[in-house]
Amino acid sequence: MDWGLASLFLPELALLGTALGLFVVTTTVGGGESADLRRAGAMADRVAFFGAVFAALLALVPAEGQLFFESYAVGGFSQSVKLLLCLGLAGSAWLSRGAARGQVSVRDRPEFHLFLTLATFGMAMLTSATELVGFYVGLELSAYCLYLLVAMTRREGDHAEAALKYFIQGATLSAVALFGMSILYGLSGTTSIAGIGAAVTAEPTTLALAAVLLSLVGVLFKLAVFPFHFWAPDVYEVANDGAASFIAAASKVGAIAALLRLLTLGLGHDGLFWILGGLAVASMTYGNLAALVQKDLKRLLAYSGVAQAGYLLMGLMGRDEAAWSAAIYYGAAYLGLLLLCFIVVVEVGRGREDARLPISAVNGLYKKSPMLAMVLLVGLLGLAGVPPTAGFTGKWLLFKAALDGGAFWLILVAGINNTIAIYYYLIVLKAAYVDDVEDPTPLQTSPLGPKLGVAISLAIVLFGVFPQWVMPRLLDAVAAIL
Amino acid sequence: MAWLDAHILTIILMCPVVGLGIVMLIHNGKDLLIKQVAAVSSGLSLVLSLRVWALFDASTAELQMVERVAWLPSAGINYIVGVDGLSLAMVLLTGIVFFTGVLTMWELTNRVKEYFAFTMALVAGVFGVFISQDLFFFFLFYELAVLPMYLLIAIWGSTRREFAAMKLTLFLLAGSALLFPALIGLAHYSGLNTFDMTLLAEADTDWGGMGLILFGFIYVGFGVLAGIFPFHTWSPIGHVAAPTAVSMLHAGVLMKLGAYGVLRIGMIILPEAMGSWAPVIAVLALCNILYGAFVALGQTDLKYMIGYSSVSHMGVVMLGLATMTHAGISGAIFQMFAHGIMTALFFSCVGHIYDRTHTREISRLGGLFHTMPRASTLFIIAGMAGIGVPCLASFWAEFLVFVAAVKTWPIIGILAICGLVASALFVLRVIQKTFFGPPLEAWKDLPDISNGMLPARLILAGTLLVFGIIPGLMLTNLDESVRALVAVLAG
Amino acid sequence: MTLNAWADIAIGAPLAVFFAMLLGMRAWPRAVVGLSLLSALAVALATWMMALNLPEGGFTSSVPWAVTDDFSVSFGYRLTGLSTAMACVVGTIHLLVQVYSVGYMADDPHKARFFGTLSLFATAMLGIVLSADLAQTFIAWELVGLASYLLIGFWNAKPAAAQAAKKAFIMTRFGDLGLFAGLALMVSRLGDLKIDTVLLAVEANTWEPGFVTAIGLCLLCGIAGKSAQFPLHTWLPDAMEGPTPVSSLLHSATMVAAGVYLFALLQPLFLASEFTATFALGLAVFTALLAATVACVETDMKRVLAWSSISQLSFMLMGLAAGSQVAGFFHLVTHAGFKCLLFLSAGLFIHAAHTGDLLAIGRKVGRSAPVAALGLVVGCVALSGFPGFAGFMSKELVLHAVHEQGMVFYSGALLTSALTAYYAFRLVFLALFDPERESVEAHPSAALKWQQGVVVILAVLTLGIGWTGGDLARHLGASADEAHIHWMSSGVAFAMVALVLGAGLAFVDFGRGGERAGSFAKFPAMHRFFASGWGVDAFWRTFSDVGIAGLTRLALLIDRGAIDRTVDGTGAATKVLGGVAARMQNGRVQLYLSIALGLLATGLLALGAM
Repeated sequence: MDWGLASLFLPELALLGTALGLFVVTTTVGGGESADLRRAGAMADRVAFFGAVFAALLALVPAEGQLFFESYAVGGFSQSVKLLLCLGLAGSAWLSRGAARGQVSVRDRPEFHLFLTLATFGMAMLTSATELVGFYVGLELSAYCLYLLVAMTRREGDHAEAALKYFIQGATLSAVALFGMSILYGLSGTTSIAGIGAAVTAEPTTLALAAVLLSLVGVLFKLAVFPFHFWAPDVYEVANDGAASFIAAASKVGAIAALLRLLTLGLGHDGLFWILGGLAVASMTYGNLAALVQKDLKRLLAYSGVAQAGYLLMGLMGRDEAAWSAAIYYGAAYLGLLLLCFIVVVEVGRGREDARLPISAVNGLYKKSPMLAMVLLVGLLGLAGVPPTAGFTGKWLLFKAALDGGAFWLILVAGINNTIAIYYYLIVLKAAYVDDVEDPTPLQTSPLGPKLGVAISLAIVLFGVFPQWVMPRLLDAVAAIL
Repeated sequence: MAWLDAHILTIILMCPVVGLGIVMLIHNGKDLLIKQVAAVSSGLSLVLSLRVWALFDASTAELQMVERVAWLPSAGINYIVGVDGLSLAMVLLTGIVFFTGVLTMWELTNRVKEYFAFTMALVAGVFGVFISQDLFFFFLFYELAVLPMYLLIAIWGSTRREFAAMKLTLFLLAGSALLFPALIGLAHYSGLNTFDMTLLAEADTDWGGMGLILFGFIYVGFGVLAGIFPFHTWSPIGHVAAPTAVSMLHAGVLMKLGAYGVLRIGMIILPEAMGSWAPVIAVLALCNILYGAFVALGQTDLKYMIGYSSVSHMGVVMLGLATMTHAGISGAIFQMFAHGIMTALFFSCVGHIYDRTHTREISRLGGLFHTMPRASTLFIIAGMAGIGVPCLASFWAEFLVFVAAVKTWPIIGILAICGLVASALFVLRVIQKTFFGPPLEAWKDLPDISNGMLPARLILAGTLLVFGIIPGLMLTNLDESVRALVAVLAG
Repeated sequence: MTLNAWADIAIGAPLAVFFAMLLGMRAWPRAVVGLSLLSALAVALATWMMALNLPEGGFTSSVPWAVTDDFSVSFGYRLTGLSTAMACVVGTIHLLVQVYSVGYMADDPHKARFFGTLSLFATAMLGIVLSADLAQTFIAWELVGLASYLLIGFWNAKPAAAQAAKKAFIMTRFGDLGLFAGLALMVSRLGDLKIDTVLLAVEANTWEPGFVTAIGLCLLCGIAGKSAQFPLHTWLPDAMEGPTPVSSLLHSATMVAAGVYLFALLQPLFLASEFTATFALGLAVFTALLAATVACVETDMKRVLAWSSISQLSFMLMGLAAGSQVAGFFHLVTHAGFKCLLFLSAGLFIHAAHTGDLLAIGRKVGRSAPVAALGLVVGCVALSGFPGFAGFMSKELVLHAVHEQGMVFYSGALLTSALTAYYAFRLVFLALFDPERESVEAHPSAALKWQQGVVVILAVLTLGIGWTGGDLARHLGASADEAHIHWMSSGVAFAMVALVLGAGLAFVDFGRGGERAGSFAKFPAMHRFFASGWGVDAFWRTFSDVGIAGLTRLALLIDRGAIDRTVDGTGAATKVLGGVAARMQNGRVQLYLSIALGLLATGLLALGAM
C-alpha cells in the first residue's frame, strides 16, 4: 500500500479506528455486572472523545490528492470540513459522556458512541465523494446512524416516536434524492459529479435541472430546510442531548459540505438558484416565526436552525468562491455556537428526568452560574448575529455574497427575519439574566463544562473579529471544487 | 508619545475593551475595584478624546489620525479609523458622557460587575462607530452599541423595564434590517467591492434610482435610532425604563449614532439622493420638533417628558442636515453634541431625584428647589439649554439650524421656530411643578447631590456653558469638513 | 481707557458677579452683595464714561463669534448717541435699584441669588444696548428673558410667583418667535446681522416693499412681547409677583424698555414700510388706551403701576412710530426715572403695610411714611403730565409727533392722557388721603435708610430730568429744536385740558373722602370689562386651555393611539403568525410529507416554466 496515498485517508482511518475500538469495548468489556457496565461506558466516553480529537488533529495536516479510482478527492475543502466534523464529534461525545446527563443508558453507551463515530465517518465520506455512489452511501450511512442515536434515548417516551418519524421522512426523501441521481446518471452516463456537471452545463434541459433539484432534497432534509425540516423540532426536543447536539451541529456542517458539492451541478442555471432563494426565504421566515412561540429551549434551537439554514441558502445565491467560503465559515461558526448552547443545555438539564428542557430552566442562571450564563449569552447572541461574534461576521459575508448574486430584496427579508429572531433569543437571555429564581443555590456543573464553554466563546469572538485568520484558506479550498 | 498619537483612535477604542476584559477577570464581590477600573478606563478615554481634540488640525477636511489595516481584502473589508470635523465632537461627547456616566453610577450596588461590563461593551461600540471609516466596522460597532442596551435596561431598569428593553431592541434592530441591504448594497452597486467609506465617497458612481432606495434605507435604518418621526416611540419608553447612566448614554450618545450614520454614510456617499430626499427629511424633522414638543407637554412622568424632548431636539438635528447648508449642518452637529451633554445632565439630575423620592410623577413632586438646590439648579440649567437660552451650547445649534432652515425652506423653517415656544412650554411647566411652589412635607429631609457626586454634573453643565459662550470651539473644527460636504451636496 | 474697555467693564463686571454666585459664592451672601454693588458702581461709571467720551460719528468694534459660510455672528459694541444714552439710563437705574435692594432684601436668606441674578439682568440689558450685531442683540434679549424669569420667580415657593415667571417667559417667547423669524428672514438676504449692515441695506432700498413690511411686522411682534404691547402684554401685571426692586428695574429701564429701544434702533426699517409704521402706531394707541382704562380700576398698587407702564410704553412707541426718535426716546428716559421712583416708593408702602392693596395701604400707612409719600406724589405728578415735570415734557413731544399722523391717533392719545391723569391722582388720593386712616406707629429700621435715600435721589432726578430734552436730542444727533416745547400751542392747551379733566375727576371721585369707588364703578359692566383687562387675559387662558391643551391631547392621541399601537400591533401580529406557523407542526408525518413533496412538485413545475 502506498503510504503517501494512505496519508490522505488518515482522518477517516482514525475515525474507523475509533469505531473499531468502541466495537471492541462493546463486545468485550461489557458484562452483566453494573460496575462493569459503568466501566465500559466510561471507557467508551474516553475512546470516542480522544479518537475524535486525534482525528481532528490529523485533519489539520494539509493533504491533496485522489483516492479510490478518483472517486474520492481530498483537498483543502474536505480537510477543513473534516476538521469541523471531528471537532463537532468531539464536542458531542463530550456532551453525551456518562457524567453529563445520563440520558443514554449505561448499557447502550458504547454502541451510542460507535454510531456517533460512524455517522461522522459517513459524513467525512460525503465530503470527499466526487462520485454519486460514494456520495449516496455516505449520506445514508450517516443518516441511519442518526436514526439510531435518536432512538437510543434512555427513558420511555416520545423519542421512539420521533425517531420513527425521522426515519420515515428521511427514507422517503432520500428515495426522492436517489431518483434524482438516477436521472442524472441516465442523462450523462456517468456517476462522477464533475462529469454530470459538465453534461448539465452543456445541455441544461429542464429535466436535468429537475434532477439536480431532486438530488438536492436529501441534503436539504439533513440541513432542515423548509419544507423538509419537520423532523427537526421533535428530534431536538426529545432526543438525548448528545444526539441532538450532533444532529444540530456536526451533521449540519456535513450537510453544508454535501450541498456545496452538489450545487456545483447547477451553477449555470439561474432558475435553480431562485428556487433556492425561495426556499431560503420560506425557511428563515417559517423558522423564525415558529420559534417565537416555543417554550422548550431545544425545540427553539431546532426552529432557529431552520431559520439559519435559510440564511445559508440565501448566501449560496452568490455562486462564487466568496459565497462558498462564507458558507463554510458560517457552518463553522454555527457549529461552535450550537456547542455553546448545548453545553448550557447539558449543564442546566443535569438531574432532570426528561430530555426536554423548558426555557424556564435557565431562569436566574446569572446567579446560579455566572460563567455558564456568559456562555449562553455568547452562544445566543452569536446565533442572533450580534457582533463581535463569528455569527455576525458570517452573516455579513453571507449577505454580501447573496447581494453579489443579485438578491437585494432577499437580504431585506433576511434582515427583517434577523429582527424577529432577536426576540426569541432575547427571551432566553432574559430568563438567564433578568428573571430570578426562588432557589439561587449555585448550579452543580461539571468542572470543565463552563470553562470549555468560555474557551469556545473566546474562539467565536476571536474568529469573528479576525476572520482573516481562516478566510483566505477557505477561499483557496472552495476554489478547488467550484 | 509619537506612537500614542499615531494609534490614538485605536487606543481610545481599546480603553473600554480592555476595561471590559479586566472587569471580567475581577471577582464578583469586589465592587469598588470594578468601579475604579471603570473610572480609570472611562477617564482615560476622556483624556485621550481631549488629546484627539488637541491634535486635530482644523484647516483641512481630510481624515486625520488615520490608521489603515488590511482586514479581509477579498470581501473588501479594511480596518480604517480616522476622524474629521464631523466626528471629532462626537468622540469627545462619548468620552464625556462615558466618564460622567460611570461617576453617576458610583452608588450602584446591584450586580456591579455585569453592569460595568455591559456599559463598556456599549461604549466600545459607540467609540467604534464614530471613528470607523469602513462600513463593515461601522455596522459592527453600531450593532455592538445597540445590543447591551437590552440587558442594561432589562436588569437595572425600572418601570416596565422588560417590555421597554425588548421594544427598544427590536425597534433598533428593525432599523438594522434595512441597513444590511443598504450598506452591503453600497459596496455592491458602486462596483468597487469595497466597504471603505472614503473610496465610496470619492468614487464617481452613477447610482441612479438605486441611490434613492439605498439612501431611503439608510435614512430610515439609522433614523430609527435618531428617533425620527414616526419611528420614535421606542425612545421615550426606553429612557423611562433605563437606569440613570444608561439613559445618559442612550439619549446622550446612542441617539446621535443614528443621526451620525445618516450624515456620515447617507449624505457623504449618496449626495444626489440626499438632495432628492431632503424635503421629506425636512418635513419629518418638523414633525419631530413640533409633535415631539406637544407630546412632551402632555407627559406626567419626568423622564417621559425628557424622552419626548429628545425626540423634539433630534428633529433639530435632522432639520439642520436637511438644509444642506454650511450653517445648517454645522448647527446639526453642534446640536448633536449639545443635546448629548444636555440630556445627560437632565437624566443625571432626574436620576438623583428619583433615587431619593422614588417617584417621577410630576404631580407628586413640588418645591424641590428648597430641599435640593443643587439638583434643581442643574436641572434648570439643562432645561434652559433645552429651551435654547443663549450662553448654553444648544442655543447656537438651534440658532444656526433655524436660520439656515428659514433660508432653505422658509415655511418649514418658520414653523420650526414655533418649536422654541413649544419647548419653553413643557420645560417651564416641569420646572414650575417640580421645583417651584411650596416645599412638600414628604420631601423635606431628602439629601441633595453630595459633594462626591457633584463633579460629574458640573462637568456636564460646564461643557454646556463653555461651548455656549465660545461656539468657535466647535465651529472652527467643523468648518472645513462641513464645507467639503456642502460642496459635495451641491454637486 | 478706551471705549471698548469701558464697554467690556459694563458687560463683564455684572456677569462675573453672576458666575461667582452660580459657582458657589452663595454661601457668602454678604460678599456677593458687596461685589454686586461694586460692579453696579463700575457699570454706572462705565456707561457715563462711554456717553461722555463718545467720539463724533460713534464707535464700533466687533470680533467674530460664530462664523459659518452662510452667515456669521460677531460680538461687538456699537456706541452711538442712542446706545450710550440708553446705557446711562440702564446703568444709573441699575445702581439705584441695587442700593435700594440692599435694604429691601436685607433679611432674605437667598439674597446672594437675588443680587447675582440682578447682575445677570444688567449684563443682558447692556448687551442689548451696546450690541453691534442684531444676533448679539437677540442673544442678550433672550438672556433678559431668562433673568426676568429668574427674578420674577425669585420667591418661587409662592405658586403665584412661579406661575407669573413662567407666563412672562412664555409670552415674551411668543413675541421672540417673530423677532427670530424677522432676523432669519434678514439673514436669508444678508451675510451677517450687523446693525450697520442692516441699516445700510434698508437705506439702499434694495429689498422689495413686501419683504420690508414682513420683516418689520415680525420684529414688531418681538417688540410687542418684550415691551408688553397688545395682545402680548398680559404677563406684565402678573410679573408684580417678583420682589419690588425687580418690578422697578423691569419696568423702568430694562426689559420692557428693550423693545422700545430696539424700535428706536431700527426706526428706519420700520418707517421704510408705511404699513408697518401705521400699524405700530395704531397698536400703540390702542394698547395705551386699553392699559390706561385698566389702571383706572385696578386696586393693587403695583398692578396700577404695571398697567401704567404698559400705557406709557405705548406712548414711547407712538412717538417712535410717528417718526420722532427724540420724542419716543425722551419719554423712555423720563419714564425710567419716574416709574422707578414710583415703584420704589410703592415698595416702601408695601413694606410698611404688608400688602399691596391700595385701600389697605391708604388705611394703614398713608402719610405716616413721609419719604414714600413724597416719592409717590412726585412720581404721580410727573406721570400725569403736570407741566414742567418730567412726564409732561416728553409726552408733549410724543403728542406733537402723533398729531401729525392724524386725528384718530391723536384723539386716542389725548384720551389716554386724561385717563393717565385720572389714575395717577387716584393713586395719590387713595394712598395718602384716606380719612379713615388708622394711626400706625412708624417703625424705622436701619435697613430702611438705604431705600429712603434712593427714593429721595430719584425724586430729585425726576424733577430735573424733564429739562434735559435738548441735551438728549443733541446727544442723539438731532437738533435741540426737536425737544423744544411750543408752550403757546393748541397742543399744550389740549394736553392741559386732558390733565385737568382727568385730575379733576379723580379729585371728585377720591379727593373728598366718601365711598372711594370711583366714577367707573357707576357703570358695572364697563367696570368689569376694564377690571378684566378687556378680556385679553381670559383669551390667552382659553387659548392655552383649549388650543395648546387640545394640540397636546391630539399629539398624545396620535402617539399612543396610532403610532405606538401600530408598533405594538406589529409585534403582536408577528407573534400570532408564529403561533400559526408552529401549529403546522402537528405530529402527522403524512402531512409533513405531503407538504414537502407538494412544494417540491411546485418547485419542479416552476423550474419547467422558466
